[in-house]
Amino acid sequence: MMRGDGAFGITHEALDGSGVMVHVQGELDLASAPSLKWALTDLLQTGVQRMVLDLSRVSFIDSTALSVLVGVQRALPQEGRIAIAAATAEVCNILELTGLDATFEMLPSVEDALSWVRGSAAAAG
Amino acid sequence: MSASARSRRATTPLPAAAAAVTVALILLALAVALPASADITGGRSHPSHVPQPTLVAPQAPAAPAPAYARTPAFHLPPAHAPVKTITAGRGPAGTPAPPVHTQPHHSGTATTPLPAGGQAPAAAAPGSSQAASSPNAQSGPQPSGGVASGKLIISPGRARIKHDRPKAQGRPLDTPRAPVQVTQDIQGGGAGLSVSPSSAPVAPAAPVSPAAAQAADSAAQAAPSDSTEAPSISAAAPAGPAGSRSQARSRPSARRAPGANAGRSGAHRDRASATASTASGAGTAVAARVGRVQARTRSATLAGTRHAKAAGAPGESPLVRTVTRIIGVVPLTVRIALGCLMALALALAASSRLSSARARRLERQRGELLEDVGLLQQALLPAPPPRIGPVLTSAAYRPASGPAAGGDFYDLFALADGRIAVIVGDVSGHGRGALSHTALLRFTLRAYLEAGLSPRNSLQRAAPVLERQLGGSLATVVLAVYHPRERTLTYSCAGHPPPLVIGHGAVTPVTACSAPPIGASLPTGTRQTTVSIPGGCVACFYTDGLVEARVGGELFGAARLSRSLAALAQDRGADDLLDRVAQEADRRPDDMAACLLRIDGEQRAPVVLVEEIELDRAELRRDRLERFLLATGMSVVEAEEVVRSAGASVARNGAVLLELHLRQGPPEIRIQPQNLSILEPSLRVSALT
Repeated sequence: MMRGDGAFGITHEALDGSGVMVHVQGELDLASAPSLKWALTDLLQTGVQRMVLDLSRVSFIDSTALSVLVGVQRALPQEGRIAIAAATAEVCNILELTGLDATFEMLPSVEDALSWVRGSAAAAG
Repeated sequence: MSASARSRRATTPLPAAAAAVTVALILLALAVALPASADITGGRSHPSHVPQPTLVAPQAPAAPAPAYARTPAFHLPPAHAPVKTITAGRGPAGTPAPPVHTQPHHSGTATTPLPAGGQAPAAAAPGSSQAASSPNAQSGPQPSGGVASGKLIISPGRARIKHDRPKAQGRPLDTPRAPVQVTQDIQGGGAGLSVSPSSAPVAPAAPVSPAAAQAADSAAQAAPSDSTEAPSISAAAPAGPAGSRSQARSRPSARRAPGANAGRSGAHRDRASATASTASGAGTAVAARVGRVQARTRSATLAGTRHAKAAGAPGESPLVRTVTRIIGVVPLTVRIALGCLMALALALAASSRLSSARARRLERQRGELLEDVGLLQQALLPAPPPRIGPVLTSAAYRPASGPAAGGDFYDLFALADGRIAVIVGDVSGHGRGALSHTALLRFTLRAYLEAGLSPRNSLQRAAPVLERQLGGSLATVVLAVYHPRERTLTYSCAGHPPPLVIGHGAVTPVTACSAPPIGASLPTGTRQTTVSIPGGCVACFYTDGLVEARVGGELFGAARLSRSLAALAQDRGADDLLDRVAQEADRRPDDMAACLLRIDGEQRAPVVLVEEIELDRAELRRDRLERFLLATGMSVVEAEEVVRSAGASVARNGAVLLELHLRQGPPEIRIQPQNLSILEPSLRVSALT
């Protein structure tokens, strides 16, 4: 229930294949959802298929940000998917309550996410 | 957001106005600088820059009237009459000195022809001093505005010049005549002569070289009764044996101040008494300067000093005089340009002020519109009856204080068989666009409930219909039906938090494997819960605006909401709950909506808790059922057995519905084949793959 420390910020790094790792910091709410939307939309333009969201430093996510994630997931290619890695307990609880934990690939850690991207890239190859 | 953008646009004239004002100021400075530089020449030309005639003293000493008095070259425009004072030895530099040719004549009498041009310039300029001290005995004193002639009578102890009233033929200017009386005391070898015309505001004593004195002498004799219109004549005339020596020193003495000249020439202190009549139109800065010169002249009489002060506009600071002069020489076009620039600056400033006022008004109107959205939303929401059977019902809505107003909705109504239906939901997106979505959701879901469908089936069937009309928006909703006779509440959530139930024996529902929201392109209406809510309990349906309110930087949270709900008095409803949350919260970033069911009747232990989950093949593959079963407290072995049985049913029928009766003894699991044909074809395909 504690608010995230520090200001909201988004960074990303390209992964093998057509994957990208997005590190998010802060709270994902009505104020920061537009920033998240534009950042992820820009990544969609680069042809990303596997998108990993590192939410280890996100303490809260509201329905507006979830709506953004659902929209991005919908905009991904047919075989594309969003994975949420290392989500905090609060974020996991919110995702479970909203039933969206079944929508995204929930991965316990960033390492798992990396292997998930590699595995999917290998499967695609 | 758009309103703030409008306000930013509305305030853009501010920097433009500032830039325009800056440009105007720069132009103003340039306009001032140009006339100021032009003042070096123009200032002199006005009012004193006049053609200065060359005056030649009559060669014949006995001429009844000086030739210069009748020369046409001496005719002056009447407009230049105001400057009338000439002081030898002083004046602005660079002014060409009109050569005044005098001829030595009688030692004691001299006539000093004074060219027009008024302002002492010629006498003061070095060039003029040189001219005045030339061997030709050019006299330094310069007349202004007319011809001065005087009669200098030098006696051993006293010299006196008397200006007679000018004769008619001696007046080239038709300026008013006035008597001029010059009195000069000459003691010893040097003498200071001061002639003050009537029209001159001041009458400085300006000694000149001996040659000048001689010239003055001769001129005075040549035209003893010539008129003196406006000039003042100052001459230092060392007399007697010091004549040749003084002539040799005439150059420096002509440059110096009259008093100094008088002292250096060895003459005794001379005292000039000048009586000037009223000056017509005098009072220029030149007169003031001359007045200062006279003030320094110890030979000046008190009366002359008083005149000088009067003419010098006492009390005016040099700055004021300078500004006055500058303004006086600014061309008319520059003045017009300056006026236009000032008007432009004022207009821009006014425009800027109006724009900022408009921006403030728009911002205020935006706030009012947002409040109106909240009020409209509130107006669109129904007012539930205070009581339906044994249930006290209440509902309330509070729009957010920011741009997130709108999006929450609720409904609370009695079904035909006496059951009570509750709808509480939240549409992503806010403002005016969300209003239509909330109305669509509320009436659509209400129709399915009134048709007799269970909450889960209502969601399941309404979701595909609604998703097509939401335009990409997500909607979370909880549908519930309360059975008064059985005291059970059945609800189904789609991405929405389950109701909060407090009271004796309240149970915690299982939230694992909740159904997704409407609009997520996923099958929803896959979960349903039935709980006993006996008398004395309160069920609270709410939107996330309550639990996401901030208290001291933290989320309000479900636990704090439970405490607030428990702290409510028995006769208090949803309005009071929202008031309490609003009081405790520091910030409410989202709408708040709540519906309360307060159950009357006897308290008894809850007896029913049924969890339902509907699964298809995909969800079975993702171990969704196993997570759900473990969340209900089932052991891993039991869960695996249930999953195997469910998997077999799904393989046969495509989908399966599991009912877990958790409250009565050991968990009772009922597995029912589920026909998904009622789903939308697209959703059915995705669910079955």
